[in-house]
Amino acid sequence: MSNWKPVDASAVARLWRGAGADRWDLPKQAFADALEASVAKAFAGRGPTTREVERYLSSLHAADLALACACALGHEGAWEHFVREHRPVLYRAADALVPGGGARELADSLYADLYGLRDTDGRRHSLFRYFHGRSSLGTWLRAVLAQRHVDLVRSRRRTESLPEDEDAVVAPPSPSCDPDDRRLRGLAETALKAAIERLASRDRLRLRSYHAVGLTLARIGRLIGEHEATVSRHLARTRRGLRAEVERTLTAGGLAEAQVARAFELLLEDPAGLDVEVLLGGAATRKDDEVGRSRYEGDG
Amino acid sequence: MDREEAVGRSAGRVLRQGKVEGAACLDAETLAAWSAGTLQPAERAAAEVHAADCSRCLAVLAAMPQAEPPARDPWWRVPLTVRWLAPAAAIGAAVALWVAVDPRVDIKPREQRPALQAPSAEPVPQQKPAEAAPAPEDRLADRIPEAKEERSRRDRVQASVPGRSPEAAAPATPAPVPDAASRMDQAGARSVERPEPPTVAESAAESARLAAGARQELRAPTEASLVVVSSDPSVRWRVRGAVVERSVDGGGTWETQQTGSAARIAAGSAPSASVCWLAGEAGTVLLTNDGRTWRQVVAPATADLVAITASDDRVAVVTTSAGTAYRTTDGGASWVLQETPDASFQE
Repeated sequence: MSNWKPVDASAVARLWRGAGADRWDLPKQAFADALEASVAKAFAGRGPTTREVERYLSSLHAADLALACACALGHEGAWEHFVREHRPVLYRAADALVPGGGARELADSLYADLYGLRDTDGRRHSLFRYFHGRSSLGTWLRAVLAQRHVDLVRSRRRTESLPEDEDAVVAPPSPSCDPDDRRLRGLAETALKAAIERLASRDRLRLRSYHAVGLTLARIGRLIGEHEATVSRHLARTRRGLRAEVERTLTAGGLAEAQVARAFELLLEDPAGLDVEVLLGGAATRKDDEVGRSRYEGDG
Repeated sequence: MDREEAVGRSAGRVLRQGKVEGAACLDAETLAAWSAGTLQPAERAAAEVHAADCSRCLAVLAAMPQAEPPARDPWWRVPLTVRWLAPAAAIGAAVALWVAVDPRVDIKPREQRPALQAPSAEPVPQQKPAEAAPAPEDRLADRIPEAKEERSRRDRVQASVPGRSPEAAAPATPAPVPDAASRMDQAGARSVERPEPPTVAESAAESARLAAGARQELRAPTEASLVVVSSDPSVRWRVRGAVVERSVDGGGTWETQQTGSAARIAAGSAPSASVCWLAGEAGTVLLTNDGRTWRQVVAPATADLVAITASDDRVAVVTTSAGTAYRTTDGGASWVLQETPDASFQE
């Protein structure tokens, strides 16, 4: 990036003014470096046209980027502004993520990293350097917080005495003790797993987002640029395809229709199957406009 | 038994074991940009490919909305009276102040003065506000039906949205546009019906009344109704407090049902046209599996219940006001405390 200067000085000056960077005495060079880092990350591996860069720069949250730059440089006024405007948001977000306690610790650990530590050379290393202005500062803070929360939870899970053997997780004990049932269930799951692996990545993303993580159709749609009805249709198509694939595999393996039917019953009986509430602890119950969801109407 | 449902359930479990972990994961900045919809196309494609196999990144994306501040209702969802409260109160206060301090204002009954008169140099005797401003109950009454009509129109628009099942999810009719247009039409109609402009005193009195009415409305809890639409949109339940009604014609007519419970209901879930679960205060859980008769299910907790989701007449999850969730898989005969979010992510 050292020789590549995709952002010209006039654009830097314009964005610098528009971002109100003078409030924080932010050096134009520091802001230019932040913009270039942002462009380099967004267009990694390819050379964007001038028009693309212009469009990209105009879409940036420049004021937030300037604030983050100034905070990373240790500007007192910028830091005070950040504390006043964003710290409460940070705490509220942490409270929402960790309602059972530990929210303040989570937020404070992030807060410390945002403030940054000085290394032996006296340079401050702040987490703000990783903010590139492609989202608002608030969204970025929530993403960092959510990532830390997820990592914390996952590391906690690792230390708990839960079955870590993958097979044990993939195939929890069937409600049925019948050896035939266990065999059928194993066959069905193996066939399903193989069918899932053969899916296109976008189909697998929809399936994972909806059935494994519990994202709403609307949110999945926003992430992959589809309308939620389209997501729903694709999901239904993918499930139909998986079903056909599993049926074909089982039948090709010599199972009779009754055995295939029993294999699907066993998949359905699985107590650890689709259960968003178990996965996300009930806090992230899906909020689609789906069957059975209630709504309030102020009809006085 | 639906084989596709079985596939969905098992796929969820199989997919929870992500293959990509750690260093290859998307960083928070990329996830934030993805969430904000600002990733470049190539970058988004790469992110999709990664996330298709990564439980961790999708878990972060799933957790982010939880950390978002609660969304404010858009302006068209704010009750009409509340929307106009501040301007009405401000205008009322300003006019009242003007009337109080300016002796030139001529406050006379409307029939003596067809329009605003020029300021008079002569002092006029003070009149009681009630005499000065004929009670504008008629106009006030005009406004209340308007608000009611607006709400019922919104109800109709919402009830007509077919997206109760994922398969039937379709772009909803944007409610605010016709609302705004019809409000403008109504405003125009009113101005035709009432050619005579209001006097200053009338405006003041009406503003004060509107403000008082709005304040009263804010103080008095509005009896909201909970509508639970089943998978068959023509069958739905409506709950007002503890009164449960059922409609089989899409909300055209309602039939009151006896539940045997006096508890206020806060949430409901109807996974089919004959099955409906209701949850409410003091751990109340009600269930019908024939669409007509209700039985009270053993409560999982004594706390108030604020949410319920059900997939059939046996499996349901209720959430208490404290955020604790309980799950039943046997129609409410027994409940199991759900794991907290902390324990929810599996390796």
